[in-house]
Amino acid sequence: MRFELTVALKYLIPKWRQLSVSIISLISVLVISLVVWLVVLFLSVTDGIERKWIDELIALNAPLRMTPTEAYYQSYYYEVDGISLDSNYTTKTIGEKLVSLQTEPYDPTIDQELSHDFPIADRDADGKLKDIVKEGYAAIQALPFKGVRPQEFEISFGNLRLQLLREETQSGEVKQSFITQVSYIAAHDGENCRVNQMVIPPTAEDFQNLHHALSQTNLPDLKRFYDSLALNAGHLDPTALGEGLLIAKHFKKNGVMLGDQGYISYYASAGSSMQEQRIPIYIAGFYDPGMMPVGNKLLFADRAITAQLRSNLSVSDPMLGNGINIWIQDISEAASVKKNLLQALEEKGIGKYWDVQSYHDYEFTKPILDQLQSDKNLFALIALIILVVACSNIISMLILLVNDKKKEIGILQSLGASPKRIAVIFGLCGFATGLISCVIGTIAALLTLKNLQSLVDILSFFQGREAFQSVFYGSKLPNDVSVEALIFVSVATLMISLLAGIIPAVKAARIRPTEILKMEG
Amino acid sequence: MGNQPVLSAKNIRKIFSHPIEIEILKGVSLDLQAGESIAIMGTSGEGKSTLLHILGTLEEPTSGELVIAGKSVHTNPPPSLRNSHIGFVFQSFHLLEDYTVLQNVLMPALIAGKEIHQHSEAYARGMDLVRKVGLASRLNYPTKLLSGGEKQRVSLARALCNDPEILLADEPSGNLDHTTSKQIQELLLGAVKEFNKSLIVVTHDSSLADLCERQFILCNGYLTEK
Repeated sequence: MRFELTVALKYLIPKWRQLSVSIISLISVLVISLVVWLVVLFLSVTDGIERKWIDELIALNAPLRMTPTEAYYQSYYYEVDGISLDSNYTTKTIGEKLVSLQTEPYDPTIDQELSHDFPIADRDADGKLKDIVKEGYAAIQALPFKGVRPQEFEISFGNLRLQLLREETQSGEVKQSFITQVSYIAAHDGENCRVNQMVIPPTAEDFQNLHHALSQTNLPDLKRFYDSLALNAGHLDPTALGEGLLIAKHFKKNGVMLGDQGYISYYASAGSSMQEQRIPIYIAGFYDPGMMPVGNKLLFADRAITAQLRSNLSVSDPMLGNGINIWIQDISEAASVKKNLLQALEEKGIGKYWDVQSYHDYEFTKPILDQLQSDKNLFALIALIILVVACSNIISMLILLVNDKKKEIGILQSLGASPKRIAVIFGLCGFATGLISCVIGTIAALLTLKNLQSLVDILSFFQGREAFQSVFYGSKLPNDVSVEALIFVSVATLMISLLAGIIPAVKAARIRPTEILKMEG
Repeated sequence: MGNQPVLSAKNIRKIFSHPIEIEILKGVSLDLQAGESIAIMGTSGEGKSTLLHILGTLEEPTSGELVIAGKSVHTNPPPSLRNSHIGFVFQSFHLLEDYTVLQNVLMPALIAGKEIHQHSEAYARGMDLVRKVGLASRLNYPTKLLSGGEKQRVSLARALCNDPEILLADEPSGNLDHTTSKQIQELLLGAVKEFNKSLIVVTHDSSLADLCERQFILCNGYLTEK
């Protein structure tokens, strides 16, 4: 290979004597480098944005969740609590099932006789009732992935009504206004680390409003909450919220402040009619819901409130429900975790009772993630086409080179170089052109990514407005190089360059030395 | 190798089909013994260069058998046979213009996969050959800057680089003036004797042919000894 490399390198060095080949060669390198630069840059930024969006989309949810299926709710295991004295004739939530001491609360000597259409108990080989929830938790905890942690989630539904009391600074008159919003209310028990991260630090105005609220009220929880803020301002600990409510940041834009009070209303049956019930609340904090489509409607409250709301719930909504959030350390493993968990549930014979979804499957993330993936695929395809076009320059350059080097090819053959080895020389020329371009393009992309913010600032300055809207792209564009993009573009460039070298290589190999040597003679 | 010829051609025929079918060689047979020099003469267009290219495995005969250093070209790859056993000297020198004198001389060794660094055997031999052809002072000159005579010296040194048994020369002094021509002829035949090579030279020059041990005439596709 040393002979082929030596000759190929000699051919690749630009020379005045072969000006046309040199110019085309330089243009090829420049164009391919530009394409590589563009692809690495775009895919890296897109990857970063995708990661950010995924992060925000699943900010309020775990990367995976396990929810009971219809088969669960129709199972003996679930329904038996409703007819058992030990369960107070009330069905249990996932969390309640988990902490329940009895898998089978039904006592035929005390409880009513089971009807003929009552579900048949799903028992194991020993005749014991399968504990679907505990077995499900065990399956999650046994998963061979880092940081796997199950956490029950419960989302309910209610009508939030806030009363805003604001004192006029000059007149001292108190003005009153109301905000009403139909909301999803999720249970928050402090274990959702992402929500904690997304809590917005309170402002000076918030503190003032809290002072005012404290002077007007005697809520012990609010006092405790205020104390925690005073000690650790800016780092809210929602576990200390008590009866407080964590609401989306858009409320803040609408004038809501910490300490504002109101209630969550719902309808419950009272005798023969439905009556409005009210749960008093106060605003304990604001959080950024990220890009979750229903984020602005999602409130966090104590589990007791969601349980109270759920017990009176009569509407059907895919957002509502009870299940298990599954947290993992590396969200890129979500698909593997899902596969493993489904297999584990099947092995335990409880697969039909659980539906496992990764964040790719969530009804509120799937369209956006699918669209992102489609956009990336489309760009990758366009990039590939541009690369093919750019690399086609290599064909022109090498064909010119072959024509230019016909005499040399004849001479090398007369010295014992086989047509195959001649072909390899020109194949190497194509490959080397691709490789050099790839390296130049990658270095340029890395430098650009390193100085991306400066470039964005310059672009914004010339445009006279924000070049990339922070609503979509965040305060700054992600600038981590995407290894996947780098591998994709490098492999594609080198493969296409190699393929581009084939036609000239074959042409060179087919040159008959005698014709050339006689011609020159 | 004993008495076995270093090159043996039996009943070589060559027919060109384009633009019209023409049988340029009609059954040429030739044995070249080790250390022997042969001159092939003939008028232009008789197929002397074609015969030389066939003998040098650059071109395939239409039929016939060719054995080089005891190896048949049918069973051995011609490029490899060419690289190991044959050295060419062309009328137009056919040097690699972007390479220096030494790089040209070492090219057959590079093709053969030999080491050509400064301490290698091939490098030492190349240097020795460059000195022998009188171009030690031009070692790192680009060959395009050399005169015709100098180029032919480089060509001869290159032909001897891999220590082949056979030298094939096609009008080696055809592009040179009388004096230079004589020098090259002497150098060529001197090298043949010194290195004990076998030589086939195609020439119009009877003085060069006279220096060879045997002379052949190629006429009407047949090769006859003078």
